[in-house]
Amino acid sequence: MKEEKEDSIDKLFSRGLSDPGDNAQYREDDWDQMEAMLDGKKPRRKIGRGVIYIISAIAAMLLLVIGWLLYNNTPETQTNNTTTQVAATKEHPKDNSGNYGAPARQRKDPKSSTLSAGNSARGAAEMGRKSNSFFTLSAGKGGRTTTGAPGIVIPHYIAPVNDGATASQAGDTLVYKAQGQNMAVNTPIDTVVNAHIIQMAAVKNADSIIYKDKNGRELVSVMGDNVKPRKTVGTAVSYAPTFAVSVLASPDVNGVGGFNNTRVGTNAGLLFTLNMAKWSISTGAIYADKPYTSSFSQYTSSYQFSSNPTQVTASCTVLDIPLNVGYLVYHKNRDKFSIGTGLSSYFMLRENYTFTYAPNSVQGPASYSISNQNRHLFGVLNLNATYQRALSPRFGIGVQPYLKLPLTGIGYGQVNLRSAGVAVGVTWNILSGKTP
Amino acid sequence: MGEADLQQLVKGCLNNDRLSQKLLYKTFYGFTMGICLRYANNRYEASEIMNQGFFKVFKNLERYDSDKPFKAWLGRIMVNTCIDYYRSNLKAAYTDELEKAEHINDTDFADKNIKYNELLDMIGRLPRAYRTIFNLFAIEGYTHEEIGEMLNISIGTSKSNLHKAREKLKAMVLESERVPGYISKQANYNITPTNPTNTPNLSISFINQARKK
Repeated sequence: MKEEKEDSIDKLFSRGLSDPGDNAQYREDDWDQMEAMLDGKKPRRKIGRGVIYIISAIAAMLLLVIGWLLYNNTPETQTNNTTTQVAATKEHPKDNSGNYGAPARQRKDPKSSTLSAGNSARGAAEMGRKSNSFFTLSAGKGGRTTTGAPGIVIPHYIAPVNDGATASQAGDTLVYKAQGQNMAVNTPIDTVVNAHIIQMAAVKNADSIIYKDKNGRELVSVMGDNVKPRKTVGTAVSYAPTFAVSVLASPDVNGVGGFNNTRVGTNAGLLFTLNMAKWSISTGAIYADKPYTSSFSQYTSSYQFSSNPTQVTASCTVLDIPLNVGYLVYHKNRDKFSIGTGLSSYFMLRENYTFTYAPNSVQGPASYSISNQNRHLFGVLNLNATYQRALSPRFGIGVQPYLKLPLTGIGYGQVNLRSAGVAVGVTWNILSGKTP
Repeated sequence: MGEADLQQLVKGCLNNDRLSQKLLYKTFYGFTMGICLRYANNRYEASEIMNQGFFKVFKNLERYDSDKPFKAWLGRIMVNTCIDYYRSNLKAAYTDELEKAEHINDTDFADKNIKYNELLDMIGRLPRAYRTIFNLFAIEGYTHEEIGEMLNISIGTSKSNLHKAREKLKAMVLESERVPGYISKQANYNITPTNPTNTPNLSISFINQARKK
């Protein structure tokens, strides 16, 4: 024990730390907090300490929950009008199934001539009107003429042998182009086929199964038509990678250690985003002006001040290179919500520090400036939530609240410089997933 | 501040007079902040602890025995508040228990001339458990038995943590001598004082010092 007590390192610290000097200079802010405590108010700081983390966590959770709920409530909403068409076609065979047994199913064939009846093949009829390659005969409710026995629906008539072969081969195509418009069509179109007008060769070439119903009529079913889920309509489009460029600008608040003493800075930059299904990766460059005020105790300097300043006022220009990942939590019609995180690299372009001294103390150097001396590779954690609204398939606008938390000391002063702000921007989809 | 003035202030505080409370607060701000800075991770945390300490002081002032020195009583309350704070943030405080401390040959550290800021930075970089024990033992002067009771740890843990704290501090001191200005690891930057006319000599010394490094 005696030996320990005599340890010289103890003496060094106990003597050296006996007089904090200017480091413990009185601050009115602290008394304000004290007074609030004495008045029975909760000390703001105690709450404020983790408030940013808590708020951002809650916001992220809320976004997730809301997004998840809304997304689950509207499972079909991602698909476009084509879905409605598919739904309509589904009903029709059921109406006829009593008379004609199990409906024969057949793949949609973009090149085959099509006979459509009533609503059952409205999608096909629609396409027929739009494409020169379609030969369409429609019947039923639309006041269209009909062929074949009444009530028999022949939306896709595989008549010529050669065309039948084409039909089966092209049958895998889910997205049709007709007169320059994209049309996504669901795979199985339920149809009842009059076996009398189908030739064996055509059916064989169409990879189909032929079977007979109770009345001895041959029914045709294309192989594998039940395998592909209807969802492919939407996903075939939305899961294609897209590439977008965004121009962003934002005001943000910068504070050291917390956000009690903040100053407003500005940011502007360019972001490139690659979207893959629900995930996205983005990077770019943001030019930021980050002013802040810090107490000297939170500022580190190799220079030995003869009398420590009380406060450091800084003005830094920073090139922020972020690398973020995002996750789309909600997407309905034109609106998208996503949350993201990632790391930013700060390249300190210019750092100006101004030192403020206590009135009666010895005045030291007034300012200090350096350029391009500090860089913090992946030294800042980004947290953000983004709301985007599409104005057109190519352009959209977005709002992004964000938080930047340093993982390392920033700048010459090695300060814990945090930033929070809301970025607004315009996004241009250069490579749209809808046009492969 | 004279003893009579102090007693007057204490009396005012006992009557919940806000002005007296503020004056007492201001009078002992530097002293109490000095204690809290040693235990806290940063100035922000230190002022939070200090205010909690002052709150205890104001609420329990009637327990203060006016025959004894007020500053010592205040200091004890601050240290206790720091320990309370430490306890409330005890998560994984002793996770470094198994860490081996390298023994550094005894050098006479006592005569080294290191600035307050650097010492505070070094102590601040210790794990909170080591820092608390080092503060209590080396600066406050408590024994291992007392520390064990205060922190609810064994005497052995207290001793071993103190040892590790010292070794870490020694290493930091030696490092600071080997690499001047190692804290910020910034050196050789050009200094451009904007008001050289006000403080010409100081500015020059600032430049020289930076160049030396």
